[in-house]
Amino acid sequence: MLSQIANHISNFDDTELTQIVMLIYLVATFSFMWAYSSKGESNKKIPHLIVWIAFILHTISLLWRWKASYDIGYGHAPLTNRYESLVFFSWTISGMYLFMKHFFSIWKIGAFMMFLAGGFIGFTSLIGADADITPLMPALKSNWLLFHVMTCFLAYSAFAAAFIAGIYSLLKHASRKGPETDVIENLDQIMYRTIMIGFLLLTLGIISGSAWAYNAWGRYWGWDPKEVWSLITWFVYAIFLHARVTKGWQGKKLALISIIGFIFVIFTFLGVNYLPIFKGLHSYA
Amino acid sequence: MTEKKNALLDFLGSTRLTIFLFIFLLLGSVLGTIIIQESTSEGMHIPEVYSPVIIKIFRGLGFFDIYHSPMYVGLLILLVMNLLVCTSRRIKMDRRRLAQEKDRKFPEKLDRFKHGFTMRLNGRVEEVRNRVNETVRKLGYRLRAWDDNRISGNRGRLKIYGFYLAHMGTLIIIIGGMISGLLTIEGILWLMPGDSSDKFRTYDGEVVELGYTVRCDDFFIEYYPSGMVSEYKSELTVIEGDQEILEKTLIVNSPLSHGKFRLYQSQYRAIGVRGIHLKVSFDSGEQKDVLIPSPGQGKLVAPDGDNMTFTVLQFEPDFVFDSNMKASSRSTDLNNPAFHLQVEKGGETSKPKWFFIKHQSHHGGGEEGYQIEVKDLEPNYATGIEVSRDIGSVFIWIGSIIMITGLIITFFVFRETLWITIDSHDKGSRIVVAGVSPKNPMGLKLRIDRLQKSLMPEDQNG
Repeated sequence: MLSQIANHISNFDDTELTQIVMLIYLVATFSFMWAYSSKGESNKKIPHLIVWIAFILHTISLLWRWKASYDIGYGHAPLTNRYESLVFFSWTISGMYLFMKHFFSIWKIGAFMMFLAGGFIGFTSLIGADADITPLMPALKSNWLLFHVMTCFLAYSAFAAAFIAGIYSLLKHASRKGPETDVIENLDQIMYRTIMIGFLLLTLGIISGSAWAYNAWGRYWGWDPKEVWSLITWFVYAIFLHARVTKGWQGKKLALISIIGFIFVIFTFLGVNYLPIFKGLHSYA
Repeated sequence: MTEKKNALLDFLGSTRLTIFLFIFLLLGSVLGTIIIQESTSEGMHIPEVYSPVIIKIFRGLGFFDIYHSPMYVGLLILLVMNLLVCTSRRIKMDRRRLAQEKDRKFPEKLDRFKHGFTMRLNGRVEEVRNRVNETVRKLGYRLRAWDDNRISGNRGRLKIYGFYLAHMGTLIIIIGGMISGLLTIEGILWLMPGDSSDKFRTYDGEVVELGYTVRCDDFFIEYYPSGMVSEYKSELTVIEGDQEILEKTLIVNSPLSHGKFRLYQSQYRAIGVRGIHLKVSFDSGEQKDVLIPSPGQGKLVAPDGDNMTFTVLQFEPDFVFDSNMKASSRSTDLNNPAFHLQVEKGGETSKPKWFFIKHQSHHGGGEEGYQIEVKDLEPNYATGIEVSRDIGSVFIWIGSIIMITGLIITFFVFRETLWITIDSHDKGSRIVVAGVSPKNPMGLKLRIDRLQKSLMPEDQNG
């Protein structure tokens, strides 16, 4: 019995810590829901504390894996296969939440954000993503890796927040109680601001990807499906930003664009690899 | 007449057009990832996938090379026009707005503003005023003194440039892309170790002079323990005239820029072999290894004391029988390597046999008292060096920097105005502060609070 426990402890690695983090995200989700249902602002503190705990442990698991990769002799940031990118996406979602809550009121979408953060970790086991640390192919050995992946996933996480705000906004529009203008306005603000942040980061992500490709292959743009889909996503959010200042495109339509936008994000991230004519420049992520 | 012209300009400069152009560009881009593209979908053949009618329609519409089709390029050109018209209109609008701002009067009744405060202070007007000036300047406002009692401060004056930078950056990127599309020269240069070349073949089949000579001194591949390729590199020397100008180890992600061209470590392929490792198992149970270098022969002494000589009569990297049923190769790649081996043992020459490396079972029998197995091939590699010259890329990087700067300004710089009056009141003075910020009330509130705190007497401050 004791030796079993000892064995388990000695085998404990970053992937198991990540599983624990996933559970904490779920706890955070429920604590948000509990806080919504009870009155008073002070309840915010508990879910936020739980998010902080999850985020810190999550950060530790990432650093742990990073170090482990050096110990094996591969020596790269944990951002280079499907498992790692999903876990990293989850980390950017909770990090983005903690960052944004300082600047504007985003508290309403906390439950769903944490659900997504936990969900993306859970998704790794669902699709059976291989959690082994794998070596880097030569094209990936670049200083651009960290910046490119960081900006892209931080953008995706900002868009995730906009997506959630979009869903809530549509629900509020459809609510029978009559539209709650304050709430809708708050949600519109969240959508607008998160999309601004996301758009800037996505632009940086695409540009850094181009700079990387230019250094690796001699062309900054090769119409690779992943590239094209990142551009498509960029178009969707560019549409959002322009629609916002155009008459007749506001309210529900904006919420709809932000929902569609995130579907495109997910397709860019996870779906492109399944396109029949996929060529495989980004096959690793 | 002019009305019609105006209507057209209105349309060309409208955000509505921008949105429609984005939607169509988006749809076009999606098509390009679900219809096979001639330029990028290697190994997929259009006639095998689509029916002749569909091929005809798609080809007519340019769907097989959508990103270079007149439709897609046309949309981009429309977007450029949209950008230009929209920007020129914006300039007019901003000029008018700036002129209006200059004529703006100092507002009355500051205490009615949503954001602000009123405070009584002990100091005299001048003292307070100096303190306020300093703090407000520190908070990032540009000051304007209206008279002895009235000050205003402006923050976020950069804001109006954000729009222009973001949109001009986009414009420069699109133009850069078009320049790249039209003027880029790219191709590949295959070199074996020891080879050199002063020209390369473009993907269009043209031969282009480099302006110097590149020599490949060596090429190696490094592997991870798992067998996966970890790195491959070419040792290059650049020669101009008779002079060796520079040496460079070309690896992926570390190109060489020299003269008009940039050279990239792109790919490699095996061409022929430099050695074949064989394992000879004798009927006595003994085993011996032998290496046949290329060119050359492999030699060993058999357990019975006979000298053995191994000669490769013919080597085919990609074995196939040609129409005359003679052995030949389909390509120079090591897809199906095979060699014709003659063995001499104790002065007796065996009948030559074909050995197929990928099909070990085909190996001939042991009537001679030994069996031969191929252990390994040491391939000769050729390094594929991508050579390119892309003037458009400069536009992309400059455009990107301008665009990003513009986006940061548009998204994160906000205009704020503070209106401040300071009057004498009893023995001290009275200050009224009001602020306006349509887009960033939270930031404004923060700064007004800071101003208020800085004015509080020391004992209340803590």
